[in-house]
Parts: sequence; C-alpha cells; structure tokens
Amino acid sequence: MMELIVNLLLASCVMLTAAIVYTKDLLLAVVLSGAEGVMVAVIFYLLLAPDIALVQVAAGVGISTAFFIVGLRKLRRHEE
Amino acid sequence: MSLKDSIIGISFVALMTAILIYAFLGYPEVGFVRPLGEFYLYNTFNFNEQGWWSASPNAVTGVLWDYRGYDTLYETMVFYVGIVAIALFFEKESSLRRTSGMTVIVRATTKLVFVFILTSAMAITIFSVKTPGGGFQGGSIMAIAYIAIIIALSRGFLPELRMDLSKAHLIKIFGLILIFSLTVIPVAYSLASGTVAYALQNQPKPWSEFGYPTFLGLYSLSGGMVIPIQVGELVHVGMGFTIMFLILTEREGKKELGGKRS
Amino acid sequence: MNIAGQLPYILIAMMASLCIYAILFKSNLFKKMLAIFLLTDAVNLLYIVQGYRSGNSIPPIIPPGMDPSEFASLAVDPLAHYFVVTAVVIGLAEVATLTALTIYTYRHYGTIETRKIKELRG
Repeated sequence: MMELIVNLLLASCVMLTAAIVYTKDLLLAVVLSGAEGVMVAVIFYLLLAPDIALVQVAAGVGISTAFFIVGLRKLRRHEE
Repeated sequence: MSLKDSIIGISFVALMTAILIYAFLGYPEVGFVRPLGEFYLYNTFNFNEQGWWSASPNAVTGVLWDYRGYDTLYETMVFYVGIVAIALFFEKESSLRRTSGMTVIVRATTKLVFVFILTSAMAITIFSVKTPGGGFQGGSIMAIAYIAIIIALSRGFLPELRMDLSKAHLIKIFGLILIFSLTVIPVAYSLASGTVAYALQNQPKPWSEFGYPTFLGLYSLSGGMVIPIQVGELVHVGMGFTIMFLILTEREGKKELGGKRS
Repeated sequence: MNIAGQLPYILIAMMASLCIYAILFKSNLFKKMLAIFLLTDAVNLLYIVQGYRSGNSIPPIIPPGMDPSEFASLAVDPLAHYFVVTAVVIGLAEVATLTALTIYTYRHYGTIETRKIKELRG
C-alpha cells in the first residue's frame, strides 16, 4: 500500500518536472518546483527518513523558492 | 521541439533506466543492511561496546559528527565558500532602509511567528540526539524565520532585531570557530602530551586515551560533544542563508557593471 | 525480475533524464538552473529509495530499551540518510550561487538566453 503511494507521488514528481521543463512562464516553473519539493518531502517521510524530511521542507521548499523568486524579480519573467 | 531533440531525450531516458535497473533490484528486504551501515547501527548506542559508540540514539546524528566528522567538516567548508562567492559578485552597500512592507495583519502575525520559529529551530537542534533533527535542519528553519521577516517587514526591520549584515557575518564566524576549536582540542592534547588522539573524537577509541567525556546519566542530553558542534552548525547555516538572501535582495547599485541594463 | 519493485527507479531515471535534457538543450539560463536543482532532488530520491527496507522496518533512531543487534537488523540504512542531509543544504547553496551568476549575466549582456549571448559575441 505504502509503496503504491510512493510510486504515485514519484509519478506526479515526473509530471511536474516535465511541466517545469516545457513551460515558458518562469514564475509558474518556480511555483511548480515548490510543489515538487513538497512531494519529495512526503516521499522522504514515507520511506522512514524523518531527518531528511525536516531539512527538505525547510531548505528545498521554503528557502529555495524565496531565492528563485527574488532572482526572478531582477530578470525577465517569460522565456523567449 | 525538433525531431532530433526528442530522439536524444528518449534515448537518455532509455539509457538511464537501463543502467538503474541493472544496478538496483527493487527494495531490499528487512535485515539486508550493507556492512558499513550495520556497523553504524550496531555501535551507535551500544553500552557493551563503549569503545566504538557515539552515545546518540539517533544514528544519523552519530554518523554526521562522529563516524564521518571529516566529511561534514568539508561540507561546512563548501557552504562557506558558496557564501564568499555570492558576496564577491555584488558590491556591498547594505542599505537597510525601512519601507512599509506588507499589510498590517501580515506584519503583526510575522512578528509573532518569528519567535516561535526560532524556538523550534533551537529545540530541533538541541534535542537532535534523541529525536530527528540536527544543525542543518535547525539552521534552515532559523533562516526561514529571518527570510519571512525580510519579506513581510522589509530589510529595514532587521536593525530592530539587533541584526545586520556584518553582525550576521560575525555570528556565522563564531559558529565556525566553535566547530573548529572543538575539532582541534584533541589534536592539541595529543601533541602536548605525546599520546594518541584524533581530531573530532567524540569518544575515546580503543587505541587512544583522550576523548570528549560522556556522563552516563547525561548521555541522552550531550551525546559526547555532538550538541555544541550542532549548535555551531545551526548558527553557521542559518546565518549563511540569511546573508545570501540579504545580498540577493540588495538594490542594484548606481555603478554600472558594464553593458546595457533594461 | 519484478516490474513493481523496479518502478521507483524507472520514474527517478525519467525525472533525472528530463533534467539532463533541460540542462543540455534549453537556452534559458534560469531554466537550466531550475533543472540542476531538480536533478539534485532526483539524486536524493535515488539514495533514499535504495536505502529503504521493505517490510516492518523502523527509522534509524533506536527506541528505548531495544537491543542493538535487533535494532541493526530492523532499521533502514543511516549512511544514505547522512549523505542526503548534507547534499540538500549544499545543493541550495549552489543554487544561490547560480542565481547570483545569472543576475550578473543579465546585467552584463541584457539577456539570459545563451543563443543571443552567442550572437552578441560572435
């Protein structure tokens, strides 16, 4: 059961990665990468790694999205 | 997207899938542990093998600062070099001008939540021997507290929290010095007394006599000398991310860096 | 060979190869940076998945009163967890450095598309 949930979450990670690669809107890509980080954190928790779920939630979702958005404010939003 | 690109992409997928399927065979069963992992798991909190233990029930914390302390030390160094690299690219003006920030409700809530986030970061670090947590986790959460303050209340609010770019650098270097001095003390002892001791030695190993003491009643609180090193790592990581964010949100300076700007 | 047990590795391989494709063939520097960040996530997932044990395994934190040899036979691999804890933080520092480099490139050339930068130089 739990492995099925892990596989579903991994499949949604793959779809989110494909959406990030093919979208032209960079702000949308940043938001999708935050969602992908949340799913990775849930996978870490389900695979019995609570230490890494903590650091992933803090660093991989919170701080990285803040960095990306701050960087994007100084660049152009749309890819050409 | 052209045909050539899609062919290359699909062949990448096929190649990597083939390699991974060849290398790994599904989830291993319970009881299958590689010898190195089994060594760490068996010795991390074993009263009968006190020559090898790390005195911390959390095996990841034990591996982090006892069995593989050198690795973590060099990772800390890599992180420090990253901060230096960012600081080199931008001229340091450090104008902490106060602007209005977001709405009143957001500002009041952020001020309230800031204290709670800092407290939870400290708790995650200090109790990391018994529960999941550690210096890296606590540091990231501490940086989130300061980043939330900068986003919601503007950079100008930081001096009211007695925080500054140079002060953040100072606190970060204090954490580094804490880690470094705790690393060097056994080496200095061994050089002074002519006996055998190793750097970052949490417990005296069988062929050396000096190591950080673990009081038997307090092992769950101290874990040898792991907790002070974790606090140093907390300060280093948290202040490092705060400095990175401060530098990245810096207004563009008046001096042109060459080329055109739009 | 059971496909169900291999499915996580196939999905991780797809994720990683999508990221490598974006790093190699996308023109936008910011998009390349996002792909590097996602590649870090994929590699971390690979570590954790192959450190996991199926069945009634427990996290690598010893419960009070458990025998160490029994704990060693039940728990998941702590070495993989150790590698990932540091890799996440280092990956984030790397991403911040790349953000700074991208902003510098934009200020210097006025664009972050590598094709246009090549034309400017060429």
